[in-house]
Amino acid sequence: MAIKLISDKHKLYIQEGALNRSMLRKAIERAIDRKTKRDFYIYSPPGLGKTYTCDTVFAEKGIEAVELKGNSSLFAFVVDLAGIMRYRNPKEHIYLFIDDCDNLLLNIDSVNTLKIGLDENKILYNKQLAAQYNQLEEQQKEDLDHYRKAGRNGIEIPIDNLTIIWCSNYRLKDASAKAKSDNAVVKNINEQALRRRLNARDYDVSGDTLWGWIADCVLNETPPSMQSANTQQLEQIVVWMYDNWDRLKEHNISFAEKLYEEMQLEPADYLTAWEFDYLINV
Amino acid sequence: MKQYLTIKEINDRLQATRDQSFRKKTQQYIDIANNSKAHNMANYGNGTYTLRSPGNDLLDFYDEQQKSLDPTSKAYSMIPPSVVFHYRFEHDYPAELFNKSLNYGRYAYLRDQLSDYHVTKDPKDKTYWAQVYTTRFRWLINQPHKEYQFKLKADLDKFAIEHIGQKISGRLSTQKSTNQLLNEKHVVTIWRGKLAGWSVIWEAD
Repeated sequence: MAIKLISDKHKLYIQEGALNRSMLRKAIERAIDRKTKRDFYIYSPPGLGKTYTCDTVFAEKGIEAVELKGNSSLFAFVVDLAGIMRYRNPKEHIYLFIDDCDNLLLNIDSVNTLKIGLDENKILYNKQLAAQYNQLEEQQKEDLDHYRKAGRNGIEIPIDNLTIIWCSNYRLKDASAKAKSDNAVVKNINEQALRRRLNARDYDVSGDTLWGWIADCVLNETPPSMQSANTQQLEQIVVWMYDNWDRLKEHNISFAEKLYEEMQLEPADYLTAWEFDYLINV
Repeated sequence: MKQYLTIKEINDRLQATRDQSFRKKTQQYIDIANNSKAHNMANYGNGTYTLRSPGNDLLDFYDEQQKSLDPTSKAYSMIPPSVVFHYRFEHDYPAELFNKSLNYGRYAYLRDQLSDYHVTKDPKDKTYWAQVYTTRFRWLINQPHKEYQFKLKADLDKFAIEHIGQKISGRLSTQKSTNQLLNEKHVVTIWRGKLAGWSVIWEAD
């Protein structure tokens, strides 16, 4: 079977993908340089290298960021935030990188809290804590108590001198979104308000542009696990993904990595392995 | 002077608390799994249930079980079952001593000294001790016990309902008793209701 390589029709999409990726990188750089007042909220489909680029840009700039990953609830976020803000030097500027913040935005309550927090530069968590509080570790309890006011249930954590970079697979709703229930209408309005307070960047790519993104990443900024591959192999992987795009089980960069792994394991017969294991049977 | 931490130290601190709570949570899940394992063992096999009816050969067993009871509980009795059994079935009250037609009332002076244990098979005797020895542990019988064996708790319950008309108390499958089940043989005696005097023993295979 003849090996297919990149042709002219592919190049357009790859250029588009390169442009998109450079925009993402620029957004993160701007967030770190604090060119804008607002925090950046970066949305894209999963597996396109948001976390990876954030980490590399931080490393290039020589900046250490506090990382929060996959917080399960607003309360968990507040507890972690208390732990961070209590011990940091308030005169120094710090960066908080929240990876996969989807769960933070599930409820109307939490969206509302974040909205107010960004306005007033302090997170106000006004709820009764009894049940949740008892499950915490002692260290965390001390942190929370530090921000508790006597005679009040709520917690008030100032977030001055703090830049937050939000990364998510959840797209904040804008004015075009339609809602079926009253609850959803309220949530949409709150999310729009949150969007206004943030610098929301939606990389809402799909189809050929999504393929262009992946192809550009694989060819031009080869992932660490694919460093040993030559250009012909890389092009073959990418073009095979393009040809079978609708039948692929996943659409992300690590999928290309898996294909390359298969290529290394079975150099003679990798095409059948790709056919059988990585495509949805129609 | 307040001490501030560096970003790296803050990150490490967060990670440490995360690990700690993760460990705590996994331990909780392990505990839950162990409990359900014990519950399953109690209900679905890996052992045999022996159901024993009341009998005169188990008197020592009843006494031991009584000792393990809480003295404030209603099932507890200061007089052990073996003593009750003795006076109800074995002790012969010396009725001839006080039969005037036989000995002209010669032994009447003993009556006061023996008044403490006036127990008799005579149904007309309504003295205090007679009542105690006849009303307490009514289920005691002067016959050896019978045994029935089951593999599953469900079978045991079914038998009890069909033949005796009462379900075995759920204590066998509560957490406390099932934790014991894992380590040792488990015994339950029932003191009240239709099943009074019956006992269940669970032993691992």
